[in-house]
Amino acid sequence: MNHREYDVLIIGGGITGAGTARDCARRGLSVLLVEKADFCNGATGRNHGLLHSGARYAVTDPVSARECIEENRILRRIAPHCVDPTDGFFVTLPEDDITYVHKFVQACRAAGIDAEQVDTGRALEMEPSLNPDITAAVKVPDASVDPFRLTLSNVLDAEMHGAETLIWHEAVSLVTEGGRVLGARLRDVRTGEEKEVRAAVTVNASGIWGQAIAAMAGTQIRMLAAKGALLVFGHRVNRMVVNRCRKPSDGDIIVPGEVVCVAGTTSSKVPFEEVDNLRVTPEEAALLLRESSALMPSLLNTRVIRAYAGVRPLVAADDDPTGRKTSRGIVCLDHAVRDGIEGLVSITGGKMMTYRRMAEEAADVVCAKLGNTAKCDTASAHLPLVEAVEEQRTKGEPLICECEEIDRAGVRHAVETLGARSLGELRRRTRLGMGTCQGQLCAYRAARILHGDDAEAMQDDLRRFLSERWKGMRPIAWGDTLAEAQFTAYIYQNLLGLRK
Amino acid sequence: MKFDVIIIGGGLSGLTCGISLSSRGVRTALVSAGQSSLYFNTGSFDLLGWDAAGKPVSEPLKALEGIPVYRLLSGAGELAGRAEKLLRDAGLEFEGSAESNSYRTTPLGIRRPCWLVLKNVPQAVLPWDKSGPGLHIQQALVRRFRSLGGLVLVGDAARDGKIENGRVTGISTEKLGSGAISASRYVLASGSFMNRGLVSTAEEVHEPVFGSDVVSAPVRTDLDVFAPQPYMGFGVATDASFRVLKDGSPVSNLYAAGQILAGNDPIKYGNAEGVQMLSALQVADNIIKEAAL
Repeated sequence: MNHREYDVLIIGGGITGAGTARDCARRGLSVLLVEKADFCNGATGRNHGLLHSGARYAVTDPVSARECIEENRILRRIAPHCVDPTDGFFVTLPEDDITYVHKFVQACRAAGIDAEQVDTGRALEMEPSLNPDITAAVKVPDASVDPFRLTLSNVLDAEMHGAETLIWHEAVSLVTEGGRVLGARLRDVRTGEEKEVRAAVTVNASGIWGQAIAAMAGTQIRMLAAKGALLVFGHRVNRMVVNRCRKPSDGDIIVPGEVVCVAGTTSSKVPFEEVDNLRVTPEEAALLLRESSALMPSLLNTRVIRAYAGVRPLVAADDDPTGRKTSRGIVCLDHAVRDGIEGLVSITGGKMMTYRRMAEEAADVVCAKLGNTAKCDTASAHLPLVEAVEEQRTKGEPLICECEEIDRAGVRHAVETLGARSLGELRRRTRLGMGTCQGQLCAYRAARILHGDDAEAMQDDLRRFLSERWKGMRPIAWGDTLAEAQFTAYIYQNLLGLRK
Repeated sequence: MKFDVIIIGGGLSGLTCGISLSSRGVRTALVSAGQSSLYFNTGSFDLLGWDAAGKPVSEPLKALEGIPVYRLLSGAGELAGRAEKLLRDAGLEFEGSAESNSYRTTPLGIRRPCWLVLKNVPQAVLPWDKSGPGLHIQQALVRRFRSLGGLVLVGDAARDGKIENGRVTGISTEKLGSGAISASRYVLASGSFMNRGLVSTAEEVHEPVFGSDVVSAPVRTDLDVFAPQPYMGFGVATDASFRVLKDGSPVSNLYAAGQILAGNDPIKYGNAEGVQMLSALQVADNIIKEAAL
């Protein structure tokens, strides 16, 4: 692996990098995808799981809206195993401007989004968790998407077409010569070992870290980190996505996902130093509870099991030196054209759900550089199933995670076939620990399977798991959530003896 | 039915207090909702593992002075000895003593200090599976309590404690309703959040049976999980005799023992069972002295 030259090196194992790897590999290019942590480490692993219909942008950004509905249809078709086709409602509360509804429906239709105004009584039948005082309801084709499954499907398809992937490998510098990027120097973050990889074209698909990668080539992409906080509730209260029919604001979307539902989001600029250590504040948690319960009152009596935050990479428009105007939509930069640096392409901006289109744009640029004329077929080719996640229960195998119904065979498969080596990696590949108990019981069982006799590795993994779990609980640590947190501490720290 | 003492909470504290009172002829009833931490015990008890500075302790009796709750005891060494005797009289055999910590190896392979290691109990499988040893200990203590004439109301929850003119005048239970049982004195041994002895909402923390004064803090922290968490020390406010405070004044016939007491962090100090048993014995002594029973 060390000495060959790849056609393309992709830096970033989120949905954009995975999608780009898939597209390039399918067009016949030799691909190496590298990621400094595990897949979905950045925004991909920390978003709302919403497959937009685009309706939210119809009034304020019709171009974005149209892009969304097109990709929505494509992803429903090519990745049915990643998408829960729930549909959604945009509802009007008594204090909202009812005249906005007409404007909203018109704008949706103009963007090609199937928006249908529904009688409020009918809406309440279809979605019983809605505030009974709603004055209007519009049905749209929103859906729920599993970003982990989607990313791993893209990775799997890329690998099936010859791509190679390396996780836990950080690009610490770019290899450059005479104004050309020739590849990157990678460090294995687990062992500290470094090596160089060479590629004809390097694609910077590293989200918020893209700014740093571009800087390694001597150019600047100005980015702003916009943090969004989200709350996970202990059960799936709504069947359909619920939105508020007004100009987009905080906390006005609730998305159902598997056995839970997620309310979000907020938007606040944070300094880069905070990006690797995001935390949800109690104020953000209170705001999200207040706003989401206005749409779905029973949320006030529903246990909040986790709070988390992600960062959207907002790209400052190139033509604004103050960096205050941010580019909406996809930003694909051929640095040869923009900066005179050959061999480097950056793909950023956009949204998780337009990843396929972002990947297509990036792959188009790469292929043009390499004289490859194969056509992109990612909009029509189905994404493959990722086995460990899809696997049915195996007869006789004990359950490891009761909330998400994952048995020992499922865990072993994730370890042996998907390379899961820690609780975190297991979680991203199987959803273990993402349910109501947040891994309280299954972490111990899974850790025994992962680490066997290696007591130290098991202790370290469980320590990391407990720290992460508490981070997600402490801003919402009240009621049953606090009782469970104390019980978990009692078991793991008192009885099992885990300390710092 | 009228009793001398009603104990709310059937865990290690409630049972220890009940056994101590009953053994001295006090007519005692115990109301238990079944949320005892004892069910999860893996067969060892802690007295004091680490001091206030986080340093491991090898001789607990010499270090108890600096620890909350223990400071209020009138003779910790003697109480520890009586706790050990109480367990033995209930048919539980163990190794170890309060003078010097033993060590146990947890199922994760971690060595940690402990007070007593129980000998004649089933092996622990998974700690939260209401494991063998915990259940065995619980049952041995219930048997002992009953053999001394104590009454256990199992699977019932106390509620709606009435306090008038600075004393408890009555309680209800979920199954028996109000006024079915009453006593001259009451002991609140209902545990912490995980036992439902304390309840929290987004805005506050309260004690659900009597609305006792609770020591808590409004600010949520940003602390890592392995740092001592303020919420561990939340609990019911008491005076120096373990009488519960309500609206700032002691309730003359209401005492508290065990995890529900404010100021202790059993994870930080490694002193869960010690606090539970020793405070319960002290409360029993205080009741007997006060009532000249």
